[in-house]
Amino acid sequence: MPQVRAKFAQLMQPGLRKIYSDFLDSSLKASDYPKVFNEMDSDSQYEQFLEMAGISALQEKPEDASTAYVEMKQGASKRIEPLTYSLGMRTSKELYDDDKYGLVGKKGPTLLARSAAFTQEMIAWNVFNLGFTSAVTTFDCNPLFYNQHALLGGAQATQLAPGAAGVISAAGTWPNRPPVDIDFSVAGLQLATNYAARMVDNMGFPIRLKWQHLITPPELRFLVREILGSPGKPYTGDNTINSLLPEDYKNLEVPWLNSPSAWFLVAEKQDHSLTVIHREKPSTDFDDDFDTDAIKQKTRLRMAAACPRWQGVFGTQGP
Amino acid sequence: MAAANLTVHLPIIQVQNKANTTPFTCAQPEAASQQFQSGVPVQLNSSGYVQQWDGTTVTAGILGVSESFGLNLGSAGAGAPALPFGGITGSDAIQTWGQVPNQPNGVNIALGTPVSDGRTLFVEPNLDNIFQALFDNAAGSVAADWTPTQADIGKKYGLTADSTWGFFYVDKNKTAGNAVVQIVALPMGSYLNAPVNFVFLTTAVQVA
Repeated sequence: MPQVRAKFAQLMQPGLRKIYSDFLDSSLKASDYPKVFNEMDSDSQYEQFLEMAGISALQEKPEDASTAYVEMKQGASKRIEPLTYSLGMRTSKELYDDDKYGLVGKKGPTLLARSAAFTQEMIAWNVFNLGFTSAVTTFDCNPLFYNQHALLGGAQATQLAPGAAGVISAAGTWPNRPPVDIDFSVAGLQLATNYAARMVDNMGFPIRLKWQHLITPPELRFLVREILGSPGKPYTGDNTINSLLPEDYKNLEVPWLNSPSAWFLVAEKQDHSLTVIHREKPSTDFDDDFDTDAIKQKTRLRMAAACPRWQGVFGTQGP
Repeated sequence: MAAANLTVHLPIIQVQNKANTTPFTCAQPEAASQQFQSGVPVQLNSSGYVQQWDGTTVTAGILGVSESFGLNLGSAGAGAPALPFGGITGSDAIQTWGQVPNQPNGVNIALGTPVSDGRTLFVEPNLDNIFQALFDNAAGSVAADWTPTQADIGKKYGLTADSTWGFFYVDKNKTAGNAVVQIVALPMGSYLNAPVNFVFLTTAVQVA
């Protein structure tokens, strides 16, 4: 629908003391996803990724026995295709010219930039929002946050992995989500910390992971402060230190999460595969309609977000 | 023996728009097991998924003309993006091969395998869009039966799929209650199996 003067009668004469516009903040204050996601540019319809496993541990060789030769394992493929998002506005020339406040039409680029910023955040953070479902899967084609990610090394890997028995719930698999979702709490954070310390690669070798960001929705703000802000052990009268503080978790509270209770931990960028693929950064274009003289403005972008590997991230839906 | 003259026809293509603008295209999740060609009429099945037009539903039966081929999906809409902001949900490939060690759900995708996003892209059959297909006659026996002439402009005919590749042609043998298109021009003139430009009848459009 075109924007015409009858819909904006208040803007036809000067005199309004102030107009409170939604779109004064063109960038939605700040962009959150680049703090967590790796970013890459693409010039193709899709980008395809492949996982490779290493080899297992050395084997004891009796005197003068021959060496055992093993093979690497080629893992699964993962293809990520950026989708196109676009939006436009059409404003009559009369409205564009008569608007005494320069809002409708003239602010089109600001509005479109704001819409593009919101869209990019939602595309990226939906990896977390949808990460408990089949809408976001990893190389093993299981949901990103899953209790039984299949290791390429199979049961041999979990047989080899130190301490596996206390972590896994099925041989040949490894979790990055508890078998029963746990709410954000001291116990929950300790469990997640152990998951990182015990996390393995596809052959069962510990990868000495350390979480960097604790990602939470606004509803958990006060709990986060209580648990990570207390010098002593939270919720006790004991003179015991808060043993979570040395982990130095950086809380990233974002408004892009749908769940009020789900919380996540993410390792440093080089230790996880959370990725945003930019096929086309937001670009704005303008044109005048020859017949009507209406001004048309539009913005488009092509982008995808994914996390092909499950190592390096942890998530639980909370209670 | 009465039959169409050609055993293989060509895809239907959109050639002109009365408003001199780009044709209105759309994408909807595809039904399971569809193997239709690009450039054939498609319709929504009773569940709302896109399938090849059945060739017989002439009233509100045609959703559009496909601009993508049938993806042979294992289930309806498999792989379609989780809108509004989710990505493509499946392997994004029409084919996978082999097995992945110890990962029963993992897939191998050969580089270059065409993508599958679980949806059919199609051009809407509104009156603004003018399409083109070959002219033929499923019950023809002489050249005149298979040749469009000036007298065919304005005539209403049906569409029939050939049995070789499944491409549809404007079928002079289908008229009256079996008609779904109206011929509007002979862009290359009158000759045997010449292409004809046509619009879909409003009564044949499934989603206006």
